[in-house]
Amino acid sequence: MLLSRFAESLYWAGRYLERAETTARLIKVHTELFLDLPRSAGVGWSPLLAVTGSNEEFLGRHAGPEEEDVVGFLATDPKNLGSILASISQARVNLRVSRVLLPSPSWEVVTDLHGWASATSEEAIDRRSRLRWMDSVISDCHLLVGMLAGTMCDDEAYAFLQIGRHLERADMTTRVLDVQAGILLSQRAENPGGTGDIPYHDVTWMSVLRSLCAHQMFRRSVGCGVSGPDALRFLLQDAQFPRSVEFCLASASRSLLQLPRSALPMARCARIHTTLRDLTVTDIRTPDELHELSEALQEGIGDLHDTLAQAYFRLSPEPVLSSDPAMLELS
Amino acid sequence: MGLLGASCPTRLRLELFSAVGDLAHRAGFMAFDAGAHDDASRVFRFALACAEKTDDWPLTEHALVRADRLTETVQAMLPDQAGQPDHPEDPRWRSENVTHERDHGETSPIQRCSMLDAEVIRGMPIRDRRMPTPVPGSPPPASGAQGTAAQWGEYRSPGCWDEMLVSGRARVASSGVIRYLGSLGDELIERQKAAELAIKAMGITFTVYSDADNRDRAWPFDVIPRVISTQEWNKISDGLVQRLTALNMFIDDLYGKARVVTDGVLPAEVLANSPNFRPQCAGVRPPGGIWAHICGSDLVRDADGTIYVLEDNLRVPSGVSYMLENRLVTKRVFADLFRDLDIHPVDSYPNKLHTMLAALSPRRTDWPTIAVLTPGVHNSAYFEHVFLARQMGAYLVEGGDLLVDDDRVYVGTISGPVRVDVIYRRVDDLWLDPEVFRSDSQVGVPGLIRAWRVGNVAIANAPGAGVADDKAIYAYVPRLIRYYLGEDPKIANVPTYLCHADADRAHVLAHLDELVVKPANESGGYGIFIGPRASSADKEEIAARIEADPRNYVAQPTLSLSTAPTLCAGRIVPRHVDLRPFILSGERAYVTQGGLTRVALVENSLIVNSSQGGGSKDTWVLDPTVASIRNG
Repeated sequence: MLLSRFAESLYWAGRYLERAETTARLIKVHTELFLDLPRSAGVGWSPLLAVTGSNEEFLGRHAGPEEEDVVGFLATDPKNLGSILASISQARVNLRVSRVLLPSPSWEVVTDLHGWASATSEEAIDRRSRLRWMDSVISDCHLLVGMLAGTMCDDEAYAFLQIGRHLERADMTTRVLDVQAGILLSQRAENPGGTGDIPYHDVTWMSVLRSLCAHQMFRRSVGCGVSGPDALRFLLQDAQFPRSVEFCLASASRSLLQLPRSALPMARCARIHTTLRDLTVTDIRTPDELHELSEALQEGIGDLHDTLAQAYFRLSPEPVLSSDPAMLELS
Repeated sequence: MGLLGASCPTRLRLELFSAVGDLAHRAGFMAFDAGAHDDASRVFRFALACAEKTDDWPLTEHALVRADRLTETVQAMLPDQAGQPDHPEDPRWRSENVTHERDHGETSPIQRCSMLDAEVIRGMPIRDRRMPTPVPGSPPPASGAQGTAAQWGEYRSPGCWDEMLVSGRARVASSGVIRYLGSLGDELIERQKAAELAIKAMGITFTVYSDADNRDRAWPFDVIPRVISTQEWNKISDGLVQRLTALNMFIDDLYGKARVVTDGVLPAEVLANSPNFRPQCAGVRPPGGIWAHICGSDLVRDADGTIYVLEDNLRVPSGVSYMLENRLVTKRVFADLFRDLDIHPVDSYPNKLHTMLAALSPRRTDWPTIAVLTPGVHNSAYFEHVFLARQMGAYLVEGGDLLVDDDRVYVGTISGPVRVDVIYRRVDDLWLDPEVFRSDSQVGVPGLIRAWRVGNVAIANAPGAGVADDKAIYAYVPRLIRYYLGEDPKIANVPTYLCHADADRAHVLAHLDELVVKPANESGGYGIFIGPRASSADKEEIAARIEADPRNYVAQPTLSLSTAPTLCAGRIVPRHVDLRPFILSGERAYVTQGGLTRVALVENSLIVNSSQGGGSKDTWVLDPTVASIRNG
């Protein structure tokens, strides 16, 4: 039977790997967007801080959201626990704990990635090398994830890795939507005439999709043109796109099915699912409504995390409570 | 350095080590800047030793990185002095060989260095990342006369007992092996390479940790096995069982009525000074009265061929996994020899261990839950913890995985808490339970000792068992065997003079030149005085210390460790070896067939530690009479 310690470390390894990858993609896409748009478009660097929820921490140490400071803070600042470098480091620490369960080359990959990222941290900030650096992080994360998927038994240990990755991904997707789409919606509110009137409207929406690696798949499934509701629907509710919130939750439930005592976490997962299913994206018209929705989703994910920790990670002599309201709902 | 031998409370001592280590670390920089690279390297390694002693991880890491970089730098700067000559045609190659042979003709004082010195070195957990590997890729000697086949006839041990050959001729037990290896000629070098490849492929590693580069290193291995005859081994094995039986009776007595003290066999003050006596264990009766279930005793052989027990490791002896893996490697590399010779198998150890542990279970169940308790991935023996847990189908747990509730021990799994019956602990007992021993332990389990005392969980080895491997107790082992068993010891103890006895002290003070003196309650090899190497000032100092605190000192004569032929840089050369057999004490005692032979790969070195240029060999216990019949 899988030890709680191993389960927890695998879960966190999955989360941190995903966080490193997503943050690298966010920085990459935002840099590209910044280069594309004229200064007059007023795209600054603070949305990146907002997405990662680190506005306050950043402003505590820096005067304002200057490009190099923001990128340095999010990519390589060891004091920022959400930075790419810190995430890689945490992923490695967690993989080390459960190393005995993993195919050994995977350990070499994460160690190499960590060594390389620490040694080249300045390249992450310099604009000339930044995109290359972010691409390297993304592709090494893919290498590791692919290696594990291709060589590890699809067992309980793997299930925890997967759950960690999918929860982190769902969480990130809701954050990106909350911030980026919020900006766009507010622009629409200011220009009620129509979508076409907002300057660079489509470019920015494309950038939202890109930062979640979604624009190509979006095109294939939705066709040409980018509209806000279509993009929202795709990123929240598409059943096939692997970064949609819907898909992430479905994957997490599938992994939960493999675990013992998973009724309660499954119930939590189902609860978020219900929120999503009942949603009509065209009803979302204001940034506040979108914000409310993301809050609800993030809260649901947070609950699910707590339930997982309670059920699997904590070492307590008490069995998990079966009189929990969520359980009653199920029966 | 002398400071480190001083007795003071543990907490102060740790700070002392830390401070001295820090100083040494700085001194290393100064030496390096001054161009004295050898000194710098030595001082860095000393800093490392101090740091590890205190578990000062940041300092360990710094010193480790320094020692490592230094090695690289020096090698880059001074390729001629640092490395072997590159080609056998190089004149230095020949002149060096001449020097070696001259050295072999007589025994230098350094070679005659004491067994205690070996212990100093082995006891010190120095982890030098520079490792003189056997250099498998070096070019084989050019002329036929220098090929490995001819080297067997020219092989001479430098005034020590050699395990395999006498005057270039094989000992009886080794004759089959030597004949075979001789017939291989230079193919032997290929077999060494094959063995190293196998080790890599099988993932046999040991770990030298620094956060910068958390890689495992391949286990250094010498392909030439060390041979012991069944006849000799049976005697050694009997001696070990006898010794362990007496030691277990002694520990049980000590934590019970302590008759050994009231009967005047063991002075009470020896016990009072023992750092490993745990008063908290008094009154506990583990199943069968057995405390030391698993023991790794270190054996060495002196120049006259006598086998001595150098020390008993009764707390967390390690190395058994390497013994098993070494056998897997030689089976691959010398498959044909296993057909022709009657080599006793070693693979049953994990089963015997499992059976012995399962029998300790307080619950009568067919499938007791066994857990291997490890301090964690940073421990240098972590590979072995993983290995044994896997082999036995046991949980591999850290302290944080266990929970004591209602005096029962549980392990946290994703299915909920699972009751644990037997713990094979690889954590020193001081760290086992913060409620009873060190309260700052992060690797222990609160309440574990409570559960053990009431018999709800078995712990192997039992907490407190380490009292019997103290240096001061060591001197009494022959007396303990006579006292508990009424038998003479079947295996020799190194004669040990106890400085608190007047006659012994007089002898020690009169013969400081020949003796090794060490603090009785010190571990890790600190504060040891080596007579043959000491200056007259050193002698005066140690004499004064002995007079001042005789109870704290023991002395032993010097021994020269035996050698065994070893393949180094494509040549067969004598290297010092020891032997660590493993003894299981359950309802029936079990001794491994042979054990782990450790070999100092550096010439004249007595360092057998794998992290410091030591390697290992497979140990073959075989019956030469059976082999000769088969060979016709």
